[in-house]
Amino acid sequence: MKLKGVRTATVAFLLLDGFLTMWPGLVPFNRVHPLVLGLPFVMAWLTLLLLLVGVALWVLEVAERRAGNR
Amino acid sequence: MARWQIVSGIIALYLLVTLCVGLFAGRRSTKSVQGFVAGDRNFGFWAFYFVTGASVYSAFAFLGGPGWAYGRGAAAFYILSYGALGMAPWYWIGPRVADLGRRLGFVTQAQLIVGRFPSRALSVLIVSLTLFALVPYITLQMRGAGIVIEAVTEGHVPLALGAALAYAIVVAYVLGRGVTAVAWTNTFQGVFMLIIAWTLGIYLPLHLYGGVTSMFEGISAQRPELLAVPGLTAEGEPWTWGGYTTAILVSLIGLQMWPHLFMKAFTARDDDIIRKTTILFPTFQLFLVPVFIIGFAGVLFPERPPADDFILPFMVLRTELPPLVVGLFCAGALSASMSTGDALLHGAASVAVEDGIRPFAALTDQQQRRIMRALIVAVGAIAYALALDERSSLVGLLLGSYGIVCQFAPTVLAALFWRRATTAGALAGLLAGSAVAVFFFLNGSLKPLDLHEGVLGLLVHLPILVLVSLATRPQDEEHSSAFVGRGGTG
Repeated sequence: MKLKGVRTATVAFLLLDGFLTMWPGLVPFNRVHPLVLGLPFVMAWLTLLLLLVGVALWVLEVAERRAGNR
Repeated sequence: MARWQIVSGIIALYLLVTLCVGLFAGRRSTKSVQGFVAGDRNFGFWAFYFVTGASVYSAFAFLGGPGWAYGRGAAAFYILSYGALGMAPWYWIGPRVADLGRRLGFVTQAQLIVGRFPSRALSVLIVSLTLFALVPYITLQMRGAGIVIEAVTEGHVPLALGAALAYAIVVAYVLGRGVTAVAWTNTFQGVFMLIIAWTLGIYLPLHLYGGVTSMFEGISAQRPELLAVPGLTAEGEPWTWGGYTTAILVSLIGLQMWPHLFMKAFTARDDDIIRKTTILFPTFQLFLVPVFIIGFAGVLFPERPPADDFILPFMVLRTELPPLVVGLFCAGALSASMSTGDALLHGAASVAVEDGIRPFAALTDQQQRRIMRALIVAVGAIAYALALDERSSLVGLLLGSYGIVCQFAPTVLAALFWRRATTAGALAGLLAGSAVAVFFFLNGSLKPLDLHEGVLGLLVHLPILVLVSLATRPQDEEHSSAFVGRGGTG
């Protein structure tokens, strides 16, 4: 994928991630069971979304570094 | 030796170590304003990571986080969501801000804005809004420190004395070495609060309920309303999705606009450090998970604390933990309070001098630093006086200040990305947005759909910024290009 594509994908993913943390994106995930690692499902889900923000930016950073173009 | 004496001993030791770290650790910065405010633009990755993380997460996260989870349940999860998302745009904005700082010599947020939109009125407006937002925030940190010390020493060290002790140390190291001291103590305190949060978050549910799973199963059986977003309001009524969603929006827009955080972009040695910190910021934020678990651990606890925010010290004291653990917990909470308090004090004084005084009076570097130091003491004293006044509704003021702080976002973004923005537009937008935010903060019952007053402010701010800008004469191409650069539009 070209660098521009990665950039667009990253921004799109961040917007999706944000959408999923609030109304109405969070509604389908708003449940307690099944517990994940002992945490209520929705809490584990929000924690995952939080970590994915870092992962998405990391992917972008690697792509930018490889392209040697900032 | 009595229990509280051991605990006090540990706290005293912790404060002493913090003072030494603040005064003596690491390199010295130069004796210039740039050294005092921006660490000579020479912070490496770890200093930058912890300055950012520990400045963001304050006594509010350490005491208020468990308090929210305990009293309002899933409402607390909004704190989990906004932090990482609020930092993400910094991947692009941070390096650009740092670059402008290097090229044009900025060390504060207001300098950058006024650099693009030259206006003394704008400078004064930003300083006023900054102080209005920061002073209650400092007060809250002081009260947090005082409350913890009073609680764990069983009242032998009263709130007033505890807060004074902790903040005398903060003032001492900030006066001595400026932002360099903030960086070193925040690294120390950041590591400390992460360790304490994770340890207590795993230990308390294990000790009380035999594990995290059985704890949440128990809450799900007895208080299921606490585990469903959007949780409850402070009064125990169901919270609205509108309130929950706009709380995330305002906080994520406002997060990096806090003046004491924004100006840290000027301390980074290079752009990679800012990007790397943005990428790794969620790892810092993860400590909210144990913090919430601590709060939830209180839900099934038979006794009630006097107020929700006391749940953490309350449980720590009631569960017969060894005094060493109690002392360390207390030090963790103090870390959270002091590591934000130092950045706030330093930020407030720097902004007041750089943006409130310097545009009106020619000062030498040495004079500026002297006034900054005097102001650090003065701001600290004012915040302390407010902290002693139990009647002042500071929590309310702080909640309102996010509505104000997020009004800086359109102004900053316009300064960096919109060529056609004009000084009149920026000034009119900021004035109108803040006025609307303050109005709805004071008249909460008039808010449509329970939307946060900051969002309502932005809804007025943006069109005014755009319309007034388009109605006034465009800025000099050469001038705006220095800020907007090649990537700009408009």
